[in-house]
Amino acid sequence: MNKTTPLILSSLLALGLLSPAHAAGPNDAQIAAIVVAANTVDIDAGKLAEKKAHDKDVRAFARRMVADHSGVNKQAVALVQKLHVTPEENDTSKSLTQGGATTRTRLEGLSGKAFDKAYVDNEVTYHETVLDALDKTLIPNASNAELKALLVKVRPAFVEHLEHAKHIQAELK
Amino acid sequence: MKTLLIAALWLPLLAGAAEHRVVIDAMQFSPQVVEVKPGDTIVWENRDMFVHNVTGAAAGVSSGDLAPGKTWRYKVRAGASFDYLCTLHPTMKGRVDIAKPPKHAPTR
Repeated sequence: MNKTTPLILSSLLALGLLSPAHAAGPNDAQIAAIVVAANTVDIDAGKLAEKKAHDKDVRAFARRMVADHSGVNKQAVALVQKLHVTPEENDTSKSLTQGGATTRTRLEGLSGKAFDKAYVDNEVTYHETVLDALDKTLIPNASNAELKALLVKVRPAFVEHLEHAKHIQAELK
Repeated sequence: MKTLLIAALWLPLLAGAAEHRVVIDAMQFSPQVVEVKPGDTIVWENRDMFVHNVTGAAAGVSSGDLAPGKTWRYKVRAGASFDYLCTLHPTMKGRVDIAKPPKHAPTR
């Protein structure tokens, strides 16, 4: 087991609850809470990496994650307010938040190149997992057309972030 | 006579500088390749919900950051075609293909 495995496991555990445990699928209020929690987790990891990352490309990537995911959350919050939907915390959103906290604690204990590698590895897994959740759970279950459209609209950003993270991951090796 | 004919054929190109639009949306430049000629203008329009930029370092082309809803106009100079990208999202790439003037340009 390498050093990054616990990070990856915590991310997978958090988002893994999206599929089998929710056979009926989340409702729109729950989806809203999941979206906000997922973005917040990455914003918080990014803020930590902005301060701690050793490599300038990793720091730039972290800055971009904070900016882009804050943008998604802003749009999501504006939409739920417009739709008069109150985000409803659920097992998935809570697990995401908890998984994010576990990841941050582990990252805080690392420094230098070990931090960079762990952060970027986690970003690759995180974006892969969120993309899977978007495609299999969140987009198919969104019933409000505007909420579904927002999820579809943000999807390419997750694809770009994943490719960007993979590129940095390869450079760090 | 031949020179006059070539000049006549080339004149509409000189007179009609065109405007080309490139839409930035869903983490892509569309169209990805824009074919232009010197004197034309390219307008990049950011319709995405994220900040982007248009940067062709080798050609000295830089829009600076374009917030959602912003546009950037660039007048094409004679020179080599160039690739560009969004430095904030480096997987977003595009190209400006600049047509070369005919070899026997008219002289007056």
